[in-house]
Amino acid sequence: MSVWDPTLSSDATLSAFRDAAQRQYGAERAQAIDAAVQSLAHDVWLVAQERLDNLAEMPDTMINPECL
Amino acid sequence: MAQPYDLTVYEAAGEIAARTLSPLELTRSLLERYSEVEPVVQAWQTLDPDRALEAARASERQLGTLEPRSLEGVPFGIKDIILTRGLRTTANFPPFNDYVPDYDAEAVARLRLEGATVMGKTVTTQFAFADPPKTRNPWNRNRTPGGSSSGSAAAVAARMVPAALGTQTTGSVLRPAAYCGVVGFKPTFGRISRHGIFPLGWSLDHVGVICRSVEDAALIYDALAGFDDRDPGSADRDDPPVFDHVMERPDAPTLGIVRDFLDRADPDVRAHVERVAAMLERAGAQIREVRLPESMDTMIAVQALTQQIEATTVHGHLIHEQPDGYAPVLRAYLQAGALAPAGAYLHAQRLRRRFREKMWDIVDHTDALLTPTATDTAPDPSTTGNRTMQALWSLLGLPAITLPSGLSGEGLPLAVQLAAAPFQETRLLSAARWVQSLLDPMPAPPLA
Repeated sequence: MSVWDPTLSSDATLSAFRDAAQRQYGAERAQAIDAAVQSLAHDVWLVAQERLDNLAEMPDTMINPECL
Repeated sequence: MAQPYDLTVYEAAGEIAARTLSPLELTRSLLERYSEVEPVVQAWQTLDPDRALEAARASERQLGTLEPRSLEGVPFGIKDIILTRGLRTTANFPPFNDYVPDYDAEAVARLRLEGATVMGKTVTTQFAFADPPKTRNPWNRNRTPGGSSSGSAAAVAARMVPAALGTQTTGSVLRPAAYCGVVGFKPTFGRISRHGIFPLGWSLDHVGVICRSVEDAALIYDALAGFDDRDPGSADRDDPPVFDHVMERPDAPTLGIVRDFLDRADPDVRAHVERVAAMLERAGAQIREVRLPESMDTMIAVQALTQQIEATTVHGHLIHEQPDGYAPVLRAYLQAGALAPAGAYLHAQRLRRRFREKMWDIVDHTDALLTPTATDTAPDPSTTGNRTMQALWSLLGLPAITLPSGLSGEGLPLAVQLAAAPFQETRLLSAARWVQSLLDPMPAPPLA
């Protein structure tokens, strides 16, 4: 399961991020970064709630296909 | 008569141009002031008195033969993530303690071209993030000066230098300026080159100015603004200077007071800003209440996510090479940021574009939006304060300015923030000058 899933609740998102942090940094370091993980999970979850139905709403970072 | 160290940039430049104050006299006065108050405030990472005096002498020679430039002989503090030729730039990162750049950041070079001198490097939080610095708030040493341009704001408030450069990715110019009772101005994204500055979030980073009046902000902005092809975010525009227009007698502006901001402010701050708005309305301003077009929580999350992922990318190699050099909050922030999925960043950029288009419609129907600059007065020094009131202007690239607007019951500075449509610096600063003319002048902090 991806750590970023728009269907996840914020608690599940946080849990997924904590698991990922533990896998990447080990339990001790993951505990030390827990506040940052909580903040990130909250932001990712909030952003994920926003739907963008208009495919024209592209980011400014879009690459011009003529350049590819 | 005011001591030279107590002059604003506009006043000092005017007296120097009139030959009633010499650059050397001004620099010496500021260095004496530094000796008196720096032990308490701790605003400087590296002071450069010898070269500041040498530059003052060079300005005096210039005045002997040529017309003064706009900032002739006026000393500046430079935030310590901005490169300065021959003067160490540490970013408050111990492994960089001995790094001495061999070139100036473009913003510093432009200041020097207008005759300004560099007095030294002001304290930044590490890499302009959020680990609390050593600097103390000149109004109360048990309060934070805010961050990340902590030393720039504290040094200007304490009259150790009339102006300083800062940078803002979330709220790092306006919030410390507000907490320290001075003016902070961040122009539209792309108006001031970031060439030669350590990045934090490349799509959010702005150069800003901390000073003591709107006149100062306009004068310095004219020296700094302009296209630079070495900054990929630089705006290729040829806008005219703002100073002369801002100095004309401004009309009473139309201001949009943003209810979403007031709802989030501490009750005392909210009541203060409502009183200021009522006072401005009585003086002739048109005050309209406006609402943000989207959830403020989501807009703030988009800003935070964008910054975290860009910062994690910027520091990707360095944090692996020198993890122990990092301060604890930044280290954890970057390590957590590495867990964010790519799709979250791209989704945030799409939302950001939608927010921007909707906000431009709202802000363009006013001369400026009016909000509190910060949710609160300066908190204790375990943090650099709450960033939510400044984040949207960084996310959307809109120009914004904070003006000191009074003192709280605890004797701490209160402030109002004005933000305008992109590239409307003249409109914003004209409105700000009108507002400034109705606010009581902010006294110097009680450091003596």
